[in-house]
Amino acid sequence: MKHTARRSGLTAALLFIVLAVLMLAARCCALPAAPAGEKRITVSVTYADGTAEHFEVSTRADCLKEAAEAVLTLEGEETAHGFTVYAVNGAEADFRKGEAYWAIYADGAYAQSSADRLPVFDGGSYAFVYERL
Amino acid sequence: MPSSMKGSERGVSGVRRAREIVRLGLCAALLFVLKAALAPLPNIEAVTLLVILYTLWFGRGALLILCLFVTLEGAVYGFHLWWIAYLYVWAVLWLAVTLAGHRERSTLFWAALGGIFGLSFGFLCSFPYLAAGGIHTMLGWWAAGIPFDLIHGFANFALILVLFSPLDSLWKRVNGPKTK
Repeated sequence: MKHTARRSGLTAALLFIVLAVLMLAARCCALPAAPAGEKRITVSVTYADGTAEHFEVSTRADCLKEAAEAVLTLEGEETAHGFTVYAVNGAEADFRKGEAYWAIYADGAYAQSSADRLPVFDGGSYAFVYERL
Repeated sequence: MPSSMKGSERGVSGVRRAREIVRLGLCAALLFVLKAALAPLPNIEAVTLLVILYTLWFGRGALLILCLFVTLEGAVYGFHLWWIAYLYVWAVLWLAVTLAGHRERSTLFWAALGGIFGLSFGFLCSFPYLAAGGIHTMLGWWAAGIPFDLIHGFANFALILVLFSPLDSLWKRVNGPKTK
């Protein structure tokens, strides 16, 4: 009985290690790291009234948050899902209040990460868009 | 059987039931308080360890503890999208422990099970996002949280490896081998 219990324990532990390695690999494939060096990107903001601002940014930053803060003021907080933006240039869209939020787009597509986890690439266009819930 | 004996038997049964209800309530409170106490440490929690132990000790009674715990969590932190995941994610762990607990298992096994559960936590919690935003939202949400799942998995593994045996031994010493 003890031998079987020990063997099942070792098997489960091995499964745990294998799963951890697979998840690490999945993470690296799903979210590729930003390239090093200077990058030229476009950062846009679309406010609640529909007005928009566009900025050409030259940056060495790895993530959108760092790159965008060269031209924008971002307010928010660190959460388990990354940096959640509650205001851009003073314009508030706090989803906790149930009305609107700041959506992030990368090259026209809805971003799958928070601003501090979204890598930036040379030539990319990134947008903060006020969207109603 | 004389009615007086039946009455005393009912009395003993009633006391036992009341004791059980209080015990389950205290166990749920312990889950909630420990989770809150460890909240400053991201994805490091003792809930997995306790759910495994409660399942082994109480069997189906552990489901009542989980109901209380999930209700408390929703009442205090709000009934948002994450709470929908909480409705089933701990029941998945309960089921896994119940199925695995039919045979004698080592501490390493339970640590690995808790670790695997921690690694899978993000994926299990991503299903409400499938309904909310589709498959890409779900997978994106999950992928972004993988570093936290890795912390969760290894933290569960370490905590259970260290604390499972002492807590289980203490329980058996106080209550006897089986309490289900």
